[in-house]
Amino acid sequence: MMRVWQSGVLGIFAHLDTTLAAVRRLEEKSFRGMRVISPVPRHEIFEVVNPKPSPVRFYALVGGVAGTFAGLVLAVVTSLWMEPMAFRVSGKPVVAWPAYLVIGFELTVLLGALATMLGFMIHGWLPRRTVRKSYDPRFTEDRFGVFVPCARDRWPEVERLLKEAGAEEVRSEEV
Amino acid sequence: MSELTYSKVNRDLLKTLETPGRTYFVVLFFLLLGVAVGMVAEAYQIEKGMQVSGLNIPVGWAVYITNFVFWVGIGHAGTLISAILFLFRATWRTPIYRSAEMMTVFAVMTAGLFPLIHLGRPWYFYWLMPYPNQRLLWPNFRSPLIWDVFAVGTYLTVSSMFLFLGLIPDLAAIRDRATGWRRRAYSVLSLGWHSSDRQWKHFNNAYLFFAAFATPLVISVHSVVSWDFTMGIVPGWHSTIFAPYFVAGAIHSGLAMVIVLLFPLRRIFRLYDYLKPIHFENMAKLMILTALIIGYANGIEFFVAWYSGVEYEWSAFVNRAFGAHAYMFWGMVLFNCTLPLLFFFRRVRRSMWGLIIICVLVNVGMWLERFVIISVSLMHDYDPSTWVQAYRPTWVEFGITIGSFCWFLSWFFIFAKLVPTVSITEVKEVLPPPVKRKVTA
Repeated sequence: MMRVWQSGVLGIFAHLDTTLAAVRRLEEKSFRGMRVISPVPRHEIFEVVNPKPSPVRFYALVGGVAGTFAGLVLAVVTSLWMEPMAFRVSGKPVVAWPAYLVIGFELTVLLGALATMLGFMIHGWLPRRTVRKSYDPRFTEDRFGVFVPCARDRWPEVERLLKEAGAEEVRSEEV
Repeated sequence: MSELTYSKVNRDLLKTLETPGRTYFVVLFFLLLGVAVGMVAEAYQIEKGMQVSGLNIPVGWAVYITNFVFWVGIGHAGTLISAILFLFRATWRTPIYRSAEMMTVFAVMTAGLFPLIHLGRPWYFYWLMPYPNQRLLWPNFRSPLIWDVFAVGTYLTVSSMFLFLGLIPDLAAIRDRATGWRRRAYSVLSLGWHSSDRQWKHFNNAYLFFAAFATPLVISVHSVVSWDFTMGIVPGWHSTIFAPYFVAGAIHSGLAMVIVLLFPLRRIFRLYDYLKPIHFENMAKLMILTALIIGYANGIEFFVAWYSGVEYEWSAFVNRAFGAHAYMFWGMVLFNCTLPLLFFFRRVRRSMWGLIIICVLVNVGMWLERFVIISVSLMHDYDPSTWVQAYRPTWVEFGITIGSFCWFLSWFFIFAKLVPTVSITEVKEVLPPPVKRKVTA
């Protein structure tokens, strides 16, 4: 979980359009694996740097299906287990499907939601004790950031490209 | 009204977390005093037994179960606003969703206390958990009381996670402005959130799925609560209409509670740029719909009782409307179904006092409705010899009920100073982003 931050250069931008322009420019120069930091989620950013759908949906699906099975198996197996002892009443069926659907449904939602949260935490790299050294508190307010992971010898070039694209400030980070 | 920008939203909403004044602590003191009253009453009941409550045979379910159903219902509007309106892409929900979701969590926490209080021996609550006892017997999964454990437990867990998920970026925003121990505390709570595109993408996806899970959940929870009654053969309980009737009633009372809570918040925190008349007006319009559904359900219940030709059922309904507790029945009809229709008039929808008075009365009416359905039905069951067993709530039940209201409000009051009651992230999401060239945007 504690994946090490990469070394690279961070540019801080005041505008969304200049941020996106910087990313496109750096991509043209063959820089890959860039991360955009923003105060709110923006679909324009996802389209440029992260177009693949999130795998969290599979966690939701697997959790939900597992919950349905868990709920129904719990209710059915325990009824069959207890049948000789208690539950043969008035000739009623031992396994009461309509009643057990409630348990199945509730566990579908419960395990589906828990798995969704787990997927979000795993893929969002959470929880972490620290944030990136070059992280700027203004990112949760109104500033955008572009982090370009690269070797030290390419820092000057990246810094120049970010400044040309309109970065207010450029910081390099050695891990 | 000033133009909102990303920066102003942060400034305004983080300002609500500043150290409160003396009035805040005075109000909090009285709320905690109310909680203490409830705790003393509960301790007395544990010491002396359930005889100190007014419960008897046949009225074995009364104020405690009424409170349980009432509080579960209050939570429903929060999920309606945070999940269902999110799926419908109703952007007007953004400034009100956080308070509504907080209300959901605290209301369900309050509701969850009442089955335990009603047990009489609350330390045996774990008997409801799904595990085998010493004789290797499992709980009866056919029982609606076990369904309740699953439904309410799931509802509390999912609502709490949904609230926390939406809070993470806001907690990071607080962390980034805080100093000292507050910074350390919010660093832990925000889980090291750093607002990268990767995190936002998974956040959006997780949020969508939580909304998708919470939507059927909220409908199921009050349906399951209503089945606590419909699965019984008591006249007045055994009705197929209860699930939609209860869900509509829950949303009705929850919306009323959101409006009652948001007005003081708006004024105290000066959130006039965020909580606008349109938000209250839209909630009032939703209440017209729920009032009409409840009114229809009330009417159809009487029709079915008469049309069924079952004399016990009809007798229970005649007793409901004209018996000793008729004032409660007519109170609920007036407060729940009739008064909210005044919201058809724009002047009433836009009047602060009009909204507050009607919404407080709706909550009173909804409590009465739960009581009428649960207890008045039990007072008039199949055996006329038991009809004279009048139920009177005792000071213990009143004390615990007062305590529950103070408990709910205390949580809300405390959290209003710990996290923003209006979501910073979601408000900013509906604003135009800062751009250098307008054409590019």
